[in-house]
Amino acid sequence: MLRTLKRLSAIAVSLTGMFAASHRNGPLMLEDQTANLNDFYIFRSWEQGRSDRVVMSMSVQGFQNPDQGPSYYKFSDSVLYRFNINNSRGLDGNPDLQIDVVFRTELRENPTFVAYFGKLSAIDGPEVFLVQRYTVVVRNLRTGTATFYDRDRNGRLLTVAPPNMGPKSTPNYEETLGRAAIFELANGMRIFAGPRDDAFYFDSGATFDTLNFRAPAPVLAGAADQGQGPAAPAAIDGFAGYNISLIAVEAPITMLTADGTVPTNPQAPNARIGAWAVTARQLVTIRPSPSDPIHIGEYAQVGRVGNPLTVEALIPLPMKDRWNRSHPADDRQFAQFIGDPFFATGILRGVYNLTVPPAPRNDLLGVFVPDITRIDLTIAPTAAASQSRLGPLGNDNAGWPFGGRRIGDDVVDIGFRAIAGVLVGLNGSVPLGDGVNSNDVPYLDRFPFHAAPHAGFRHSQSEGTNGRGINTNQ
Amino acid sequence: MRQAILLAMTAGAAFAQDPERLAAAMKERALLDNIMRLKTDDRIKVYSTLTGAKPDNLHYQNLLAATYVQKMRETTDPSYLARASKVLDGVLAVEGSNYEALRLRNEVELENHNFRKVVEGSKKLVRIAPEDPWNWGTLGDALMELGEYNEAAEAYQKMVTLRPDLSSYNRAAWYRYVAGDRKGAIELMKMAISAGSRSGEHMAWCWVELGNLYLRGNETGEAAKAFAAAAKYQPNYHSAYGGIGRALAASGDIKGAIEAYKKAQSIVPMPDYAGALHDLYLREGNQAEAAKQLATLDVLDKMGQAAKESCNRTIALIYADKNHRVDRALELAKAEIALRQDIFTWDALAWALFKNKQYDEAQKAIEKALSMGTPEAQFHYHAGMIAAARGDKANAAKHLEKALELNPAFDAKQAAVAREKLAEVRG
Repeated sequence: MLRTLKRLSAIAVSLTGMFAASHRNGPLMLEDQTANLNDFYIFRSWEQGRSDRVVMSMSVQGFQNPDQGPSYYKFSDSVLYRFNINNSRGLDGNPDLQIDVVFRTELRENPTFVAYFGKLSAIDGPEVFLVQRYTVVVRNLRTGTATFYDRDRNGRLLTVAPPNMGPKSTPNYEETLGRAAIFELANGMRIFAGPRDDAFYFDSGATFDTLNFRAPAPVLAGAADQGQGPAAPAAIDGFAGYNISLIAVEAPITMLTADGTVPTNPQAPNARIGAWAVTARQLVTIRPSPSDPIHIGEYAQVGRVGNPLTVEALIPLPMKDRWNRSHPADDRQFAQFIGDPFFATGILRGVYNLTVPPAPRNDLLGVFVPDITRIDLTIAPTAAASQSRLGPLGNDNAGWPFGGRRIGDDVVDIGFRAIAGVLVGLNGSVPLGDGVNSNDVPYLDRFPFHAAPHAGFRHSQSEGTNGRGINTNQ
Repeated sequence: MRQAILLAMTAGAAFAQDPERLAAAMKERALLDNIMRLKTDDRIKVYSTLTGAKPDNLHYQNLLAATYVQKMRETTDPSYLARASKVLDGVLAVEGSNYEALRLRNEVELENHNFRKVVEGSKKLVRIAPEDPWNWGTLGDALMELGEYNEAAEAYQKMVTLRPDLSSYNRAAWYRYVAGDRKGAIELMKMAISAGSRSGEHMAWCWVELGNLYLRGNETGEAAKAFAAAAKYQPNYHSAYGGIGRALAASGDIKGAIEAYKKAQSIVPMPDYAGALHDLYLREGNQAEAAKQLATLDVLDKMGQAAKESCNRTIALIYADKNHRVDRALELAKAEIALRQDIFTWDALAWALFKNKQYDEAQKAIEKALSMGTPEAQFHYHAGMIAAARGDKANAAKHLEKALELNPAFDAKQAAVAREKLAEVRG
């Protein structure tokens, strides 16, 4: 008895609220990882023989450590991942077409403690104990039709690519598992879902050390502004070596335009489309009712991304939740922030003494309100070798912000310069940039274009190589 | 993560024309992003250092308080709640209207069972920030404890509509169960788990809840899987082992159940573990160990009294079940019903009244417990026993049958009593 007492009093340092947990104290949280959208891309494919197609992709769950086993990162079964396409009414920010992806996790009888064991023979081979399948729904909002696909045109179940664990479990990852997760649907679309390298690149470390850019950044003169390699050799890509979860679709242009044709005249009303990605979860009714046994209802949007950097660069933090719930068609409500960005007045003028355009910035409002990424479908895709990371600012109109957004577009440098006024002829001679001019690993020259995921066994986080020099295929 | 770039290019009007403040904010943002990824203990260390270095920064203080609350959730050690409270007192003394601190204050009050205060506090915050799901959550939680279910449903509905995620789904699931829909509750709890969280404790918490929902319908296999998942997400999570103990006991594995309960008890000595171990040791014929567990219960009660805790419906129920100190059981249950009037407290009071032979009062209390149509076998067992004591054989049979139909293994010892009594009233 005495021993019991001693033991108990050792545990209960203070007794007030000893049994506080005897009510139901459900978690309250601020972070929502699985529905957190990172980037949205849309561009005309530069894959050989497929330039009549548009690729759209969304990345979620950023900063994935390649060795985060045993289950790695999954898409959420309760999230609806949606591509919205706006092709009419002068691109007003209302969707005309939607491509939805919904996942379901299959847990197989598992004799081990890990989700994958042994050399993976296929994306859903017997060594995979946790298989994620998915359904694609293509909705035409004008006709009110919806088409469902849970198999590809050869009858294979649509399946998520497994993680890249290392040479023993996933040797030659891209060929055996990455490619195998690309499915062609009966409607001619192709789709991929699975882990990939994060294509985004940015010297976040230098920026956050009180704008302590590594020379010659932030003004990239001459050679430092040319080419695709690292402009400032000392610059560090804060996203190097991390993976993201990617959903990518490839669709014929004719499937995306309002009249089903391939536009050739840039002045034609169907020459441009706009698109954005959202995540949504289902609303549920709290009260059960015998007359309404189906208590799971419509989807409520919890996140969205159109242009890069909008929410990060232009929307004040306290507005973030409202932004994520709202729709592009209502983006005028945020015009006051976008039309007078502090980055222009506070940093570019305040810190770097640049003359910036006066507010309201109609040049920025044209890109960011409504916040959808616009693509001029009459602009032919640029071959990989000829692409400029600066897109239209580098005389390559097939990139952001006019030709959609390609995965290699240096949106940070383009954004810096656009906010400095380059779109209206100001500061064109001040080549601003963070110093990182390319991704840590090369992109693919074919769908889904994002590079294979970094492998868990050996990756740049453990090697200290900042992502460079590690073959992600092992 | 792209939010990391936020302050590099922010439009934050607060910083306009003040590059130094902006640069400082940028640095902080990058720092806080990194801290978010640390383990709870490490977060406490870093925030403590930060608050020490910059005592004027109220945001750091709030982050420290929030991390203390999280630590309390993980350990059930109330001293962390006291620390959080102290930090928040400090913040609110400097800035009485600090929103972040007021919101956390509400969460602390909820943990301290000051439910009425939480209702008032949440309603105030809802007026300030009607789009913040958090406040609707604390409002709903407090209303549930006060038995104000209609208003609670509205608050939770608001919460889930603003943001369907792990936090709101798990509350929706619980409401569904209370309102009579166990299958719907299971479905929603699975959605909460699927929605996910970076916090292992949050995931483990939902898995335990899912296990409990399965167990309430005697689905012991599914329940065991859920509890095992909880133990995997959060090491040394006492309620996961408590759940494993319950699942094993329900499927008849006495030795396994004892081991699991002992493990749970060694982490946090909750009274239910002592209660369950007492029963299990008796079933094994181990009188000595059983007696120790009963003594532990009495110690826990004394400790509660020493801490000026006047009420504890868990101990009340256990004492009543065991016909041990039934007068104390009634005292505890009566004190609890003064604090919260939810169906579970009405049930505990009804059972304590029954054991003290106050059958008419017990009947009134159990009617309140049954008022939501909750598929809780224990409620119907208690209702059946009370009806039998009052000579109402028809209702006794009805409720005892219902209890055994809902869950024939709701409690090894009490289910046996229910069967005996049912045979007796059927005569």
